[in-house]
Amino acid sequence: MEVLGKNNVLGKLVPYLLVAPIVIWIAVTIFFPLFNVIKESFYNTGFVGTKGSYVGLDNYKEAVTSPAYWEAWTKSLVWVLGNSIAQTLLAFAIALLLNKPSRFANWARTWMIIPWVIPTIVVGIFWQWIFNGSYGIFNHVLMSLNLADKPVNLIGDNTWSLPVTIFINTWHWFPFMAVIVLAGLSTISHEIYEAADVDGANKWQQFWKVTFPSLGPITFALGVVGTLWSFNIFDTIYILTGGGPAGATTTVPVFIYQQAFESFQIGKASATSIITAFFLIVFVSVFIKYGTPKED
Amino acid sequence: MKAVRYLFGILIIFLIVFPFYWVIVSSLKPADQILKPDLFPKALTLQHYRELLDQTSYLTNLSNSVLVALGTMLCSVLIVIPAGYAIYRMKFAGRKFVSRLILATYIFPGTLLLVPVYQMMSDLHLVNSLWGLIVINVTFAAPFSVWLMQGFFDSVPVALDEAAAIDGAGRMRTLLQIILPLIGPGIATISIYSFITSWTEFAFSSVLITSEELRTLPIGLNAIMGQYTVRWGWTTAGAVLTLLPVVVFFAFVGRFFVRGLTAGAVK
Amino acid sequence: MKKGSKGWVTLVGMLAAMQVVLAACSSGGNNGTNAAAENGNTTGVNTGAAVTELTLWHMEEPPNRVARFKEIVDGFNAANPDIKITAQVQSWGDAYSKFPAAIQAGNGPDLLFTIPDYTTLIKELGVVQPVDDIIESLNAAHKFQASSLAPYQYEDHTWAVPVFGMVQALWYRGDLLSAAGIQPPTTWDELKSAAEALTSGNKYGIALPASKSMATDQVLYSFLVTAGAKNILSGDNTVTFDNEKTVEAYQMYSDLLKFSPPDSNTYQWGEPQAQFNAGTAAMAIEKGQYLSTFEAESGRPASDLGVVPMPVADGGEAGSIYYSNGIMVLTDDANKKAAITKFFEYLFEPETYGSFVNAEPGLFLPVTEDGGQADSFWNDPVISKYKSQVEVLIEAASKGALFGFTDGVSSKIGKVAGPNYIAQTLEQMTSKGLSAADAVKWGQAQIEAAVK
Repeated sequence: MEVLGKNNVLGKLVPYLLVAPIVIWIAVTIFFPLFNVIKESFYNTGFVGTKGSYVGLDNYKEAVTSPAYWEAWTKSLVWVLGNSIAQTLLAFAIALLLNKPSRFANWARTWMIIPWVIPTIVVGIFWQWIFNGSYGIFNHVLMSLNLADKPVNLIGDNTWSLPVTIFINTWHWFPFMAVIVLAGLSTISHEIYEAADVDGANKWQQFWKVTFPSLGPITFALGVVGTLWSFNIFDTIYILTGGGPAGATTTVPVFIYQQAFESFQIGKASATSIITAFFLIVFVSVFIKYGTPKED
Repeated sequence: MKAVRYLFGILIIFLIVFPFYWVIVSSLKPADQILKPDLFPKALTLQHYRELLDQTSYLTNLSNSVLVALGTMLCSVLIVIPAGYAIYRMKFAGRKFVSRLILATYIFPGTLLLVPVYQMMSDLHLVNSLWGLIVINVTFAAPFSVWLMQGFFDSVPVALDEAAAIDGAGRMRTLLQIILPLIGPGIATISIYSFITSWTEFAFSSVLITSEELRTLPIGLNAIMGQYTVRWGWTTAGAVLTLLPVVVFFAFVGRFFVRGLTAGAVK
Repeated sequence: MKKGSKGWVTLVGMLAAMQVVLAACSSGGNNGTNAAAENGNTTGVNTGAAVTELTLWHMEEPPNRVARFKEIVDGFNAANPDIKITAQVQSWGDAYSKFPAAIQAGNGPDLLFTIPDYTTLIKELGVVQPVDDIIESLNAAHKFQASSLAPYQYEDHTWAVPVFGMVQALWYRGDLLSAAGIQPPTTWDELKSAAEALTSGNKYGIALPASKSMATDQVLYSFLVTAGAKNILSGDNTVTFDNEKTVEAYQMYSDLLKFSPPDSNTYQWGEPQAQFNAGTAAMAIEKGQYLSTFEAESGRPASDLGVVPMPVADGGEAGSIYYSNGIMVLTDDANKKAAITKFFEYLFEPETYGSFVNAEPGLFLPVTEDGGQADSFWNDPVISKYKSQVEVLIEAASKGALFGFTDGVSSKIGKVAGPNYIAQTLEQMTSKGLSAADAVKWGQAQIEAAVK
C-alpha cells in the first residue's frame, strides 16, 4: 500500500514536512490550551481569570467522590447509548432503503442529509417550536387525536426530557451517519450477494452474513469518532434544556460547563475534564485494540 | 415487504421535511396567527423578514459566515491533503502516532477549552478577528477530513507513484501533478465538510468575537432570540434566514459531497 | 463515470476560484479588523489633536435597545470631538466566560454594564475601578436614589455608576379580571384565590417561570421579600436561607404553579409575557417590559394592562426584587477616566437621560431624582400612554430589595446567583417531589457549600 521514500535524508524528511502543518495546528489549538487546563486542575481557581492557589490533588479527589459527577456519567451513558442505537438503526435502515440505483434514491441521498447542515441553534428552534408545551403543533396533534387531554411538556418533563433531547440530536446527526453507511454499502460487490443467493441465503441472512461484516471498517470508524462526538455534544443539550429539569439532562460536558461557568469553580471543572478525558482515552484504546476489524 | 418499505420511506421523509415546513410556514404567518396551529396559513406576510433585515445586521453576519467558512475550507484542504498523502501513502516512523494524535482532537470536551483557547488566540492577536474563527474551525474540521481522505488516496494505484519515482519526479511533484487531479472528488468532499462544520459552529464564535460587525449568523440569530421577549415570528424567520444560504449552497454542491463520501469514505 | 468526473473538475475549479475570491476579500476584511482593533488605542489622529477612544460593552440585545444606546453614544461623540466611545452589544450568556477571559487578556472594554451580583464576581479580577468621585459629583447634581447606589457600595468605595433600575410588580389583564369579577390582589391569599378562580380549561390564572434560570430566581425572590424572608445571605456570608418564612414562600410558589401553564418549568423571561399577551394567563409577576408590546401582541387597548405592587403575605412586608443596573469602569488610564467622567455627566443630563432609559420603556426606570421628573422620560409615547402603570413601578422601586444586598453586602452572592440556587430549590419540589421544608434545607446546604 505504501511506497518507500527515497533513501536519502531529504526523502526521509518529506513525510514529516507533510504532516507538520496539521500536527502543529492541532498542537497549538488543542494541546497547548490543554496544558492550561491541566495546570488549573491543581489550583483552587474559582471565577474565570482569577488566580487560585495550589491544592495538589484535592480537585481530583473531590471530582471522583462527587455524586453529581457520577450522576452526570449515568446521563452521559444513556445519552451516548441512546444516540448510537437510534442513529445506527435509522442510518442502516435508510442506507439499505436507498442502496439501489434509481433517480429517487440519488436525489434522496443528497437531500436527506439536510438536517446535518443546519446550525445547532436552528435545530433547537425547530424542535422547541414543535414540542412547545403550550402551542406546539405536536401537542395540538396529540390533543386533536385525543391522545392527551392536556398539552404534554416533553422538554421540561423529568422522564421525557432526556429521550426527547436524544431524539432531537439523532434527527440532527443520523443523515450524516446514513451517508457514511451508504458509502460502506457501495463497496460491497454484487458478486458476493449473488454467491449468497446461490447458497440459498434469505435477505435477513444476507444482511448478517454479508452486509454487516463488510461494513466492519465503517462501523468501527463510526464507533470511535461517533461516540466521541456524541459524548462531547454540549450545545444541543444546553440550548434545549440547559441541563434541566433538576439535572435530568445534565451529561458530563454540561456538568463541566456548569461547574466552570455557573458555579465558578474552574479548578474543579478542569480536574473533572481531565478525569473525563482519561476515561475517553481508555475507551478509545480498548475500542481500537479489540474493535479494529481484521484487514483482509 | 414492499409496503413496509414505502411506509418507512414516507415516515422518514416526513420526519426530515416537516420541521422545515413548519418553521418556514410559521415565519410567514402574521403575528396574531403564529401561535395558531394552522397547517396551511390563512394569510402570508413577509413582515418578520422585513423587520429582521431592517433592524439586524443580517447581511453582515451572512458575509462573515461565508468568509469564515471559505477560509476554513481553504486552510483545511491545504493542511489535510499533504498530511493524508504522508499518512496513507508513505512509511515513516511515528505514522500511527500522528493519526492517533489527530483523532485525539475529539476527545476533550470543548467547553472547557473555551477559556484557554481564548487566551491563546489573544496571544496570537486573533481575538475579534475572522481569522481566529478560521483557525479554530480548521482544528475541528481537519481531523475527520484526514480520515475521509484515506479512501481517496487508497483508490489511486500505488504503481503511479512508483512510475513517477522511477521517472525521477520528486514526491511533491508526484503529489501535485499525478495524485492531486485523481483525488479531486476527495478534495471537494472535505471542502464541503469543512464549510459545513464552520457554518454551524457556535461556542467559539460567540467567545472569540466581540464586535457586532464580525458576528457570524448563528451568533446573530442568538441575539435576535433575545433575553426578555419571545417573538416566535422573529425567531422562526431568523432560523429560516440562517439555514437558507447553506441549503442553497448545498443544493449546488450536495450531490458532490454525498457522492464523494460514498466514493471515498471507505476503502 | 466519465460524465461524473467532468463534474468534479468543474466543481474543484469552482472551489478554487472561490478561494481566490476569499483570499482577496479576507485581506480586505483583515484591514477592517486591524482598524477595529486600533479603536481600543488612544492613538487616533484627528486634525492633530489626540482622540481618547473608549469601548463600552452592554448586554441589552433587542434591536431597539441597541439602537437607542448607540444614538446616545453617537450624540456624546458628536458633542465631544476629542472622545470616541464605541458601544458594542454583548450577550449575558458570555458574561461569565468570555468577559473575564477578555478582561484578563487585556481585551476587555473600558466601560462594562453590570448588575450588583455580577460586580462582586468581576471585582475579583482586580480591574474594577472605584467611581467615588464620579458618583459624588453626579449625586450633587442629580441626586441618586439610595436603593440604586447601595448594592454597589462596599469596602469603602462605590464600584459602579447605577444607570437604571428594574423592579417587579404584579401585572394583570384588566379585561379578564373584570369579566370574572375579581379585584386586583393585594395579599397572597387574594392572589391565590384569584389565580384559582381565573384558571379553567386551557386558561390559567398566572404564568410563573419555574426553570433553573435567573428569571425564576427573581420572581421567587419577590415572594421571599413579601414573605418577610429577604435576608438570605448576610454581609459576612452567613446563610440564613432556611427559615419558616422562606418555606412559606416556596410553598406559596408551588401552590401557584398549579394555576400556571403545565410547561412553566421551561419558562424563562419571555414565556410568561407571551402567555399573558395571548390571554392564556391572566396575571404575571415581572418587570416593566410588558408595556411596549402589550397592545400589538394582545390586540387589547392599553387600559387593559393593569399593574399593582407585589401582593404581600400575612406577616410579611411590602416590596419586590429591585435590580439596579450599573456601569463599571475598568480602566485606570487618566485620559480615559476624564473622558468617562464627561460621558457620565452627559448621560445624566435630564434631557439625555430620559431618552436613554426609554431604550426599553417601563423596564428601565430612572435612578436619579431629576431624571425621574424629566420631560424626556415622561414624553416618550409608550411611557405617556401607560403613565399610571409607570407610576406604580416607580413607587415599587422605592421598596425594592435584592438578595445578598439586604443585610450588608455579601461578597459571595455571585456564587449563589450563578448556579441559580433559588430556582434550583424550587426544582427540588417540582421535579424531585421534595416538601417545601426539605427543599429549603437542600437549598441552605447548597448555598453554604457555595459561599464556603
